[in-house]
Amino acid sequence: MEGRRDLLVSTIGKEVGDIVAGIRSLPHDDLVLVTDAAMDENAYVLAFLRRLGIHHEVLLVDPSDITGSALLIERKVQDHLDRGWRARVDITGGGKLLSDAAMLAALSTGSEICCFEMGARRFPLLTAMGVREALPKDLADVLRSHEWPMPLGDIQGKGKDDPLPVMLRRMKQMDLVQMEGGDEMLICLTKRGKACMDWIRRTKELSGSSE
Amino acid sequence: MVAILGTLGFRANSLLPTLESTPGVDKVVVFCNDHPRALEALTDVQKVCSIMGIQIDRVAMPDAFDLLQAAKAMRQQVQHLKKEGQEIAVFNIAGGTKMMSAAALLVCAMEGLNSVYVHDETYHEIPLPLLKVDYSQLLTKAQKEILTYIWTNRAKPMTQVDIALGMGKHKATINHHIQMLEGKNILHLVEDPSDRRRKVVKVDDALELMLEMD
Repeated sequence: MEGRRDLLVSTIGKEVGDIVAGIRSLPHDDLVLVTDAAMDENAYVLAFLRRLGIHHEVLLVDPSDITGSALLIERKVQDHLDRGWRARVDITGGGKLLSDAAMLAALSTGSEICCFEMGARRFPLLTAMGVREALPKDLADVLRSHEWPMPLGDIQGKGKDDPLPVMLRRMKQMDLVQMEGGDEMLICLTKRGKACMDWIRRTKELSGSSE
Repeated sequence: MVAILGTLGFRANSLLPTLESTPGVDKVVVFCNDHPRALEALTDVQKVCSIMGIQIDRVAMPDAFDLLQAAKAMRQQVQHLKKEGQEIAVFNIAGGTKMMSAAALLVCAMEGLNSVYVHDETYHEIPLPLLKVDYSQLLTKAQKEILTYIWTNRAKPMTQVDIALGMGKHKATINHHIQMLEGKNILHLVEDPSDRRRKVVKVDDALELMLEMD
């Protein structure tokens, strides 16, 4: 019986050495190199991988957009997970933003995080809680489909059978919305709520672009 | 009291936008190492805090390049603040070394804290959409007990039989749980260097962080 296949995602900057420890110690049937610079600048890295016969692909991300970078990595990981692969994310190479984006993607997909900067450090995160796992679908739908801020008066007029007030209370407990006063009380998104909404909308855009 | 946390490197500007944008801050806890430029940046932040009437505490990072050590130090501080009843508004993860920033992000996920990144050039804050990692739903009580036993006795290589004997449990029970934990990547079965016929259980140092999970 064929065993489970392994994906290794490695962030890479200018040092090929940063990915070597991961390649040597972590199982990988497929390697995705995440970089924020065109890889032709690092042609020797690709040549090195070819010589070793390592099947790889390069994922170019925008270093000024941490959420967008994380989403691209997450999507690549999730594609593999959906096909039954196991994924590990090595954050040793590249700059701070690249590592943080990769970590966000790992947290969001429940992938093991590895780092070899000071000896091997591995964080088996199981099914970690990113937006995809921690935010129930009904709340994600509310975030995405409503206009924000929402006047409190609109909610007070809802009937007992309307699920929205209960969902908003749950969203408040999760620090996604907050009340803001003035002439009219408004239900506004918190910073976390805005970040989650951005993540959800951009995930949808990304999946839409591949269809 | 409302506190904000932040990793700090060579630029105070990576942290200052969060001081400005977070309402009602009483205290700032800064994680930084002893590099002279980091201490310079700390002085800048202290000056601003003094003007704004905000208390500032510094947590020295003994090793700013070790993800695990940094995460442990930060998590300890977060738990200390929570115990004191302080509300942690946000953790700014933009400053410091790459490993300090990554450690802060990990701690935010473990403790369910809001986190923000500050853009290197524009200094705009970028909130990150993290919610809480919840291990309690993913590890059974028995698995947690086995992991705690393995962690406590990690200096001595142990087979599954050793663990069963040590814990006073049936071998089949331990085998079952070890298999589950191996499937979740939490531990690995490796050859015993002193006797290659034996498979011993190996765990990574990061397990310590997971075992502290509620």
